[in-house]
Amino acid sequence: MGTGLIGKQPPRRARRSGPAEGRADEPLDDALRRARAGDETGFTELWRDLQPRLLRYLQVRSGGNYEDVAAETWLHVIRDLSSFVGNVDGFRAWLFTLARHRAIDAARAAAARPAVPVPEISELGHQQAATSAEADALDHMSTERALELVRRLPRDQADMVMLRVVAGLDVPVVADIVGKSPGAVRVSVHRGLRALARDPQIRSEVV
Amino acid sequence: MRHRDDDLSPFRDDPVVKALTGPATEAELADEPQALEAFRAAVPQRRRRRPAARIASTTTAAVLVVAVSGGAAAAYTSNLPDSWQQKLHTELHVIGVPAPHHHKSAPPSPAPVVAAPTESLPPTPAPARTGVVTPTPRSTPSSVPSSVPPSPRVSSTLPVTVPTPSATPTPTPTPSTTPSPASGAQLTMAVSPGTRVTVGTPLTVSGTLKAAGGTAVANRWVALAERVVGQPGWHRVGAVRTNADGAVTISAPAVQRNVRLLLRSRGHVRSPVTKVVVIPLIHLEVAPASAGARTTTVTMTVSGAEAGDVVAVRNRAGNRQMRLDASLTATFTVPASQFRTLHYRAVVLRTKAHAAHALPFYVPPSGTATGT
Repeated sequence: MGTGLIGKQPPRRARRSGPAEGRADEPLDDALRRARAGDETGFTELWRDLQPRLLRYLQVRSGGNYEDVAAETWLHVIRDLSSFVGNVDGFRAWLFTLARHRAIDAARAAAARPAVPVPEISELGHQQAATSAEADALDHMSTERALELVRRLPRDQADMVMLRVVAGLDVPVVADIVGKSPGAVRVSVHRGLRALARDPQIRSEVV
Repeated sequence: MRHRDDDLSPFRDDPVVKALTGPATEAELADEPQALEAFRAAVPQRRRRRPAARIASTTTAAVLVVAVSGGAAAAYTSNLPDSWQQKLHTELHVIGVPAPHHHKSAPPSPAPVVAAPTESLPPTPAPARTGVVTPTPRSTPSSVPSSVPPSPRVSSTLPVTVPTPSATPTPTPTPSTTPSPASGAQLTMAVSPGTRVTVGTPLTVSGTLKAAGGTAVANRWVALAERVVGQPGWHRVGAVRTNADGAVTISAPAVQRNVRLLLRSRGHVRSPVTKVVVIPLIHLEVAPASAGARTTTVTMTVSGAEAGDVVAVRNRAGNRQMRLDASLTATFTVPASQFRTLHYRAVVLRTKAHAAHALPFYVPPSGTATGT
């Protein structure tokens, strides 16, 4: 009785030092600071670092309309960037929280109004251009295949694996986003990655 | 793509992890010009900084020089690709970004328009009149993602008192009748506004006295008696004479605890006993959570309860109970999130003196602490 906590415990990291400490050497912190001040180069550095992660996460989380969801997420970020307070870790968590919620909204909208997405001509053109560099194409194929394999995991587990591995979020932050305890996140991610690593079919497919 | 925690280290060389964290591809970065255009359109000209020295000194900046040539005018003149123009219009129409005009049949963006950032709690029902049904707000699933905290920020004037009486009185009192064994007369009684009322609600009791044949009995004294729970015996509240229709209306004092009511008249004529249940009022104060805080304080004050009554704060993951102190207050420390709105229910448990009552509330995101 009294002032005990309800539900999951606060993240250990937050209890120990707070999310803003010990991150002064983060290379993107300066980019974030400049972007908040309206500097285009800062925003570009942020975007280039986070956009690939965001797209990969949304390919697992959102499905076919992941590029639209990513664009909406960035527009939301751009709109409120000047009022953002925090370092790049907080920014990354904010970005993926927004993306996750946008993906949920998009999934609901798609369920209410089923549609078959048709790629635009410009998108096809981009794909063809991307294959011009052989090494890049091989990497891309490998990533696409890996994303497809992650999608085979249970949805929540795939969500946590992507937030943890691709987004690079800490366990407490992932736990906060998905509404689970840090221990549950750690176990689920570990099991998911172990399942992927042990699958002989996967090992033969992903080189 | 970096990782800090050690729990992923066993999988560093796993082919799937390596593929997932591989370098960005050209296709993944293909939307950079559009994103940059959106950034330019959103950032006011006076805040935008493009120092010439930096642009000239780095390759990254040199790319930007090319991209800058389009300028914010592209967004304002609808020259962006339709998908970005539509989204930009959705997000930034308040600053004048138009919708795409050359594809009028283009479907709207499936995502709902996100409300402007706000630091206040969502609308809560205004304090209801006593005895009036106040629907309890329930968060729908769609409201959670759509009302994403706009950005982690320091909240200085956070919320808030959430006074919410949610009485659920029975809308239509049900008259009840019992024959008098002695005279065959009947005395009916109805309580307004109902048999479940908010604490402090004054009651009005009406009744009708009829003879055994069903004819109204006029000019007879009818008394109202009450028996408050926890107190011994029946107490007379008031008495009036029946009118020509045999009807009486008697006001009872505002109820503070569960009470039983009874009309009676001469000759052992009595109405059935009607129990009126009192619904307590919950007042909540959610303390502003400091930036980065993982907990916040919720103070619950309950009107219509008594010291020692059990109150609780619950969510899907747990339950925490306390007893009200002498000032009918209990203070809880509940988890807060930096990025999510956490939903709870404040609950007063039922006692002999009052009914149970619950009040949903939530703790808004605390935001992140100031960084570098």
